[in-house]
Amino acid sequence: MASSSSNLISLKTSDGTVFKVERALAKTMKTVQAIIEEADANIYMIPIHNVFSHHMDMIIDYYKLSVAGKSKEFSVEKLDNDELKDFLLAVHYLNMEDLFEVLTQAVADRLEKKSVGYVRKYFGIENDFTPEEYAAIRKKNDWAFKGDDIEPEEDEEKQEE
Amino acid sequence: MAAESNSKRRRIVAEEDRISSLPDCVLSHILSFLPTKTSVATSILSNRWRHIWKHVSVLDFSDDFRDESLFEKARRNNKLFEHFQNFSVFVNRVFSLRMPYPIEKMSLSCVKSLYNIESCTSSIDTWVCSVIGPHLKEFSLEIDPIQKYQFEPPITLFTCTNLVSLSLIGETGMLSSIYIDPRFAEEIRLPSLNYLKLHMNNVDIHTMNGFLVGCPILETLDTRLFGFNYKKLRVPSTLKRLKISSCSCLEMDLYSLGFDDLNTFSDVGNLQNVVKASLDVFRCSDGCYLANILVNFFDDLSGIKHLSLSISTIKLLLGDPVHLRFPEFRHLLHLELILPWFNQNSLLSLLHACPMLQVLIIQNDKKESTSPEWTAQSTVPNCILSHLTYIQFKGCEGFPDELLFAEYILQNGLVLNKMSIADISVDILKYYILRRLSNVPRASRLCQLTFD
Repeated sequence: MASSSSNLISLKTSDGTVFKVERALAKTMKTVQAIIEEADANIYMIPIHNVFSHHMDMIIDYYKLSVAGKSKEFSVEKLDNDELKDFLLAVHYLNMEDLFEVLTQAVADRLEKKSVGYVRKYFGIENDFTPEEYAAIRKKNDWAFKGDDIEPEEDEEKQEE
Repeated sequence: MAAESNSKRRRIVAEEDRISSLPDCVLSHILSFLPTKTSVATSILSNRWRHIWKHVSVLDFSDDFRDESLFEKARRNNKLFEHFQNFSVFVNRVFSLRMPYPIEKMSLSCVKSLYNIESCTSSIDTWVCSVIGPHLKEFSLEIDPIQKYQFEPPITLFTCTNLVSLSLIGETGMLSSIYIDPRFAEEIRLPSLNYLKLHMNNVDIHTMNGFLVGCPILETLDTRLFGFNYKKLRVPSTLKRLKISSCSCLEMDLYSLGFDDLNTFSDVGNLQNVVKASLDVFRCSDGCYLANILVNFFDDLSGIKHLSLSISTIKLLLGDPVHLRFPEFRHLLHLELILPWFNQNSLLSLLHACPMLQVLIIQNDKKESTSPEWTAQSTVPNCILSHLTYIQFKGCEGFPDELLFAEYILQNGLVLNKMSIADISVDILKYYILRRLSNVPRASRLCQLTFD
């Protein structure tokens, strides 16, 4: 029964929960905004795939903090790496600029000064280089690998197989 | 067994989906927050990652060593120049191999390995010149000073139309490694500049004004001024944050000012929009003149809400002669002071001058101690009665006048929410202070007393 003058938009997450959010919040989600604008009639309920209810909770938290001018207080520290990646994907899908910046920075912070093996595991990347290719790249970008913990943890990778 | 391998397979599939759902542009965006060295290192992760670093429009180079011991070792073995050469090869490689997208942010820090002056100069000059352009939004350069070496940025750096943030750091003691040609002053045009940081010993007032006039929407200024000379400093009305430190050689400039010149101090306009300021002014021998300048300066900061003053600034403001006229800080809400000594009389006089103060943070520096007598105040400062909600006292030594002051606040603070006493190293002292202050009748029922 949402009328066109209503300030609330209904969003349905992948796990079936319906969130009624303020129009201003929906505006920060460019994907949702595009759907609203394209619709001829009033949209009753907008489904948002790839977004779960726990993501919406955090998005609403962030929105409330940023409206109060306290966006710096928003923290994703309690999320583990997988949860952070999922959240980043959700926000990327919704195309929310500010929150996206916050999350990419958070991911970058977690990657900084970590070894190649850690980053591989973090993103689930498979090493598809041949040993020769691998050695060649290492040699070419020698300075990038100098002196830091960039040493690949070869033993760790062998164990995983 | 079957269930286990099923779930493992599902997990692997899920992980793969995760990678493919993050497009390259998101990955390169993540890399843009990392130092370039790290970002280039990702080329070794997999074939897909081989070229992602090349799409990043942000460069962040530093010739830093991983830790101090490696630096010391290199220095002892005269390998610093070799380090710079390797660094130089890397930087040039990055410039050559990356996609020819314009650079939006550039940060260059050469603080460890500048050695052979000529070759270093031309390298740095090349790198800086290659990023200057209409797309450049943020630029930061930090060079460690070496005798006789000064890097001169080209004028084109100071006419970048989209530059939002500019930071030039090049000083140690009396040396300065960056030099801005004073003839550039009139030509500075940075219409988008919001943040300016100049930490060089040699910026004179003429060049400083050149920046201020050429940056019409400047909001944050962090600088040293060579000589505490505010004569005709034209501050844009948009300025919100100001950080100034003055080196001790200001003595020379001050003597060159005749008494009449002090009156022209009123030419400093437009400071009334500054909301937050942090001041660190070194004392010179003729404290009287300087203190007056400070007072006038504070008058100009009429809209200030958040003020933080260093020891030397306090010494000037509260010190000899003690009966200095205090400016009134009508809008001040938050005050942080590092006190060279504890003098509750001058502290209370200062509080009288801040009628709306809500937060007071004082830190006792313990360098000097005087204990002038506590004189009873005729009226309680207005802020204590009606606005002060939080007071923090760091480094309390337990002197009688300190405790009397704390008690005074507790007894008179009608809206006080919290008094926090922090950084007391000696436990017995802590206990004594706790006991004494807990017994004081508090004017505000909600008031909490905490010790950190």
